[in-house]
Amino acid sequence: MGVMRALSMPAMLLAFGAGWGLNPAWAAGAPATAGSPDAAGPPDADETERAERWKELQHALFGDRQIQDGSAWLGIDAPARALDAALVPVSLTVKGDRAIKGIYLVIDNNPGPLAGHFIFGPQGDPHSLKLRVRVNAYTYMHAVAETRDNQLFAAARFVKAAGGCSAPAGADEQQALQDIGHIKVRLMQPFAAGKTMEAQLMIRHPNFNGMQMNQATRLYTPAMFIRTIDVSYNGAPVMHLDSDISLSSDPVISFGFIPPQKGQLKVLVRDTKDSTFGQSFDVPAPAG
Amino acid sequence: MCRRLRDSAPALLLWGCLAVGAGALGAEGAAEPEGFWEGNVDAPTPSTLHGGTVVHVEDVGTLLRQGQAVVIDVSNTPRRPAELAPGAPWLPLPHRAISDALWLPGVGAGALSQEVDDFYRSRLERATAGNFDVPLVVYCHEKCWLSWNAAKRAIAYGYRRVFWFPEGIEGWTAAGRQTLVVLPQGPAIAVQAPITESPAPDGRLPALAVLDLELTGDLGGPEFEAEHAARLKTESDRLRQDLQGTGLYRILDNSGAQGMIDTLRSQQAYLHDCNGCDLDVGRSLHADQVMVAWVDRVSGLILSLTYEIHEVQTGQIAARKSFDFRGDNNNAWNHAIDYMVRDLAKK
Repeated sequence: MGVMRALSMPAMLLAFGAGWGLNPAWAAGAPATAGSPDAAGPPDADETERAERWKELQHALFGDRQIQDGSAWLGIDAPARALDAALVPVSLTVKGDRAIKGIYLVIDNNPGPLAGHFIFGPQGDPHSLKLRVRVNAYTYMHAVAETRDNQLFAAARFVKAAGGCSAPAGADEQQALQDIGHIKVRLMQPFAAGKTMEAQLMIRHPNFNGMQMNQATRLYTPAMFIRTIDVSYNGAPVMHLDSDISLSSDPVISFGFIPPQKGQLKVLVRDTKDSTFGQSFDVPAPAG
Repeated sequence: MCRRLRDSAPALLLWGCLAVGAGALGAEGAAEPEGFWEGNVDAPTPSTLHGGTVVHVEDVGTLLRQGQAVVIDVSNTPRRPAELAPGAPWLPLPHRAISDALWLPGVGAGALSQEVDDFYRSRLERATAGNFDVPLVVYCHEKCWLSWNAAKRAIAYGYRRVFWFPEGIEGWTAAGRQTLVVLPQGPAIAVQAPITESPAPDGRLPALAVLDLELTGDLGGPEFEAEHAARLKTESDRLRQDLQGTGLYRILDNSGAQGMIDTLRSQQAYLHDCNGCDLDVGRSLHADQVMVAWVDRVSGLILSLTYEIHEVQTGQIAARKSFDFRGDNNNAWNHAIDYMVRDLAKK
C-alpha cells in the first residue's frame, strides 16, 4: 500500500467521481468551443477580458502560430465548480485518429499559465489524459493539441475555483516530504497485445509551488516541484510531460499506451532539485 | 493537499455542497478561534466575527454607496518561484479589487512582524483620518482566513464599525459587481508586484538574465568585506524582484549557469567588464538580454550605480544609465535600486 496511503479511497473517489464519472456534459461529449462560454460559463461582461487574456497567452506561448478551433474532436473537461482548488480534476480527450504530437494544458488565469505539455511517443495513445491541477482564480482552461503536421487546435472550458495556488501544503511540511518519489501504477484494463491500456500513474511528491505560506513560521515554503515525467514501454517512449507548479501535490495522471507485447512500463520523474525517481512496472501486472 | 483532503474529506464535501447550494457559508462554518487563525488560510471560515459584522454583497454595495467606508483587500500577491524553468511564462493577472480598495497584502496573516503591524495600523489611521467610527470593509477571497484575521485585527486596533465580507472577490464578481485594477501597498508585498504594464508589442516579454551587482572603486578595506558581500547579494535579489515587478521582462533564474558564473568570477575581476563574457552566460540561459549593474564606491558617502543591458545576439548595448547616491548603507542602496528600476520602467 505504501504510496497509496496518501491517496485513500474516499479522497480518490471524491476527486475522480466529481470530475469524470458524473459530469453529464462530459458524458454527452459536449465540449465548449474555444474562447466562448458553455452552459456553465461566466457572465458575459467578463468575456471580452477573458478573450483578451487568452489572446495574450496565445502570443506568449505560441507566438504567431495560428490556433484553430478543435472543439469538434478535442475535449477538455473539469467540474464547473471545483470542490478543492488545489485538486481540480481535468480530463483531456482526443476523438478520431488524427496524429497528435502533443497537448498543452493552459490554465489562463494562473500566474504560471502553462500547466503542462504532454508529448506522445510511438507507444503512447493520446486519446485520453487525466490529471489534477491547482487553480488560482476563476478561469478558462485551454487544451491545445499539436498535430504531427504542426497544426494547433484548441478547446476551452470554464472552471470556478480559487486559491489553489496558495493553499498550504498541509500542517506539516516534513510529513509531506515523507515517501517522496514513491511511484505507483494502476492498469485499468486487462492486457491485450496491441490494444490501448489506460494506466493511472500516482507519484508521491508535495510539488511545492513556492506560493504556499507556512503560517507557523510565516515563511513561504521554498518551491520544489516536478519538472518532467517520462514514461516508456520496453524502452520506447510513451509520454513525456513538462510540468509546472500548476500540477497538484501527489500528482495522479492517467494516460493511454499501446503495449505490442508483454513487457515493462518505466516511469522516470525529475524535480527542480534535480532529484530523479524511477520505477518499472510489469505489464500485465503480476497476479495477486 | 492530498492529506488535507483526506483528513477532512467528509467535512469538505459537506461544506462544498452547502457553499454551492446556498451560495454562502451556513452556520456550519468553523468555530471562531480564540486569537488569530494560524492554520491553513484557504479553509472554511467561521460565520461570525466577534466585535464585527458579517456582510454580504448587497451590504457592501450599500456601504459603498454611503461613501464613507474604507475597503481593504488583504489577498496575497503572486510570487514567481525562482525554480520555474527559464522560459516558463509567468503572467499574473492584474489584481482586481472592489471599487477603490486598498490592497494591503500580508496584514491578514496569523501573526505579523512589527513592521507589518505598524504599517497596517498607520495605513488604517491615514485612510480613516484617525476616526475609529469610519466603517471598514475587509475581504480577500472566498474561503480565506486572511480577511477574518485582518478584520479581527482592525477591531483590536479600536475600530468600532468593522465589516467582514467572507464571500470575497469571487462573491463580488459572481454578483456582477464592478472591480478595479489596484496595486499592492505596504512592506509585505511578497517579492513582487503584479504586472502593471502591457508586455512588448509582439506579446512576448524579453527574457532578461540579471547578473549579480558588483562593487568597484574604493572598497573601504577588509573590515567592510562581509558587509559588502551580503549587501551585493540582497540588493541583487532586490534588483531582480523590482525588474520582475515592472512586467517588462521575464527575469531568468541564473542557477542554470551558476557553474559558468563561478568559473568566470574566478578568472575575471568584473563580469560587467570582461569582453562580453556576460553574453556567454546569457546565451547559456537562452536570454534575449543580459543586465550587468555595478556600484562604484568613491567613498563611504559618495557612490554611483550603473546598469547596462546587452543584447545577447549582437552584444550591443541596449540601455545604459548611471545614478549617483549618497551613503554606503542598506537604505541608500535600496533607494538607488528602486529608483533605477522605476526610471528604467518609465521608458
